[in-house]
Amino acid sequence: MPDPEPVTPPPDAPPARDPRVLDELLADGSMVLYHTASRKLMTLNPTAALVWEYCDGEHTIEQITSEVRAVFPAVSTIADDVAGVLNDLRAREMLRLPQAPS
Amino acid sequence: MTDASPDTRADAVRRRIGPHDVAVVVPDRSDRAAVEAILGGFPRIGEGAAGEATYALRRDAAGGWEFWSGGTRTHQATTLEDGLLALEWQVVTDLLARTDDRFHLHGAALADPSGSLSVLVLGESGVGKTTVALALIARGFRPFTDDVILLDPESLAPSTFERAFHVDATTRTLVNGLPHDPAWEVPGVPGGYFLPATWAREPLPVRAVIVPKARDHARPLLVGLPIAEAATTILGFSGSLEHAPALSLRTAARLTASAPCYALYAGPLAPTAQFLAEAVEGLRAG
Repeated sequence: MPDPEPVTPPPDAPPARDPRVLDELLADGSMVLYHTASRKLMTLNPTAALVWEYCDGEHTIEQITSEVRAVFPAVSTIADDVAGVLNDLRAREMLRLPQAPS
Repeated sequence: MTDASPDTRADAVRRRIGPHDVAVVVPDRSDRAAVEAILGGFPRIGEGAAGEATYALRRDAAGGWEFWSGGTRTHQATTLEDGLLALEWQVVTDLLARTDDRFHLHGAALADPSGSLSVLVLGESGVGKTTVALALIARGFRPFTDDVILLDPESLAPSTFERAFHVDATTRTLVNGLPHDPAWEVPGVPGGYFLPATWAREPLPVRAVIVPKARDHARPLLVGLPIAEAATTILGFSGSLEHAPALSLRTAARLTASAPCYALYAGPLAPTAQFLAEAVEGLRAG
């Protein structure tokens, strides 16, 4: 049976993991992702893994940033770091893609 | 339809391969001797074993060979060597298709000389993993497998898979130059194959993963990989990731938590083998 097409959320929707992606936490807090359709692997450092955990379709980018900032209060670049992680995840198609504007 | 009927034929080679019973009908006596030789590491089974998979390697009217899997002719070969390769390929492919409870990796697995741990040597063909494995065998290591690693996801112990090694002339020359070269001459084994005299059979968890990267270093060097890189490296050699992704990811995570993964920059073979043997002994002692 073919894989179901992912549901595409609106552009401002909270980031959500592609349900076809499996994740596995590693011993040092990093994480490995595997997209079962594209068969691509991706690794995340512990900070990126934390971002990934919040990509549940409920937390907005601002809320994710706030959660990560709470864990790493001394880091001044959290907003940029979170944005970078989300961009990487989108580029590797690990997140459900927002619908293109019509 | 092939005339393979292994329950009643005396010209079938029967072996237990992994968890499965296999029968290969080979009518020609000399061909059968070759099949007996390359499958000689696997345990013999009796006639009519339950769950037997049936194959046949037969000569055809044109002077070549044809290979049958069940009732289907799947390969034609002009030489016996190619027919034997077709047999090995089909047997291994069928085994892996029916083995969904093991983490499959491409590479060699060996028990250390003390019999207390196992190490994996992962790599694509041509990178030198068989050469490294043979060099370690010459230093007292015992093989679980040279090509098809099947890891228990709970114990992280490799299964014994007694497939004959494929050894090209270059590898054989290299290994023959070692102080303790393995015994090559096994009666009936065709050229290009090496059948170890003994195999590791006890369940030994993996304690190190070695990935050969190069063979031209002045002296051997092991470089430890960060855990995330180790995980993706290991998964890159997995044959089960596509059909059993959750099991493969989980097992790779457990493996990287308990066994360091090293890139091997190999130098000349003898000092590289000694270096690796000492490194593994250090893991055991540590």
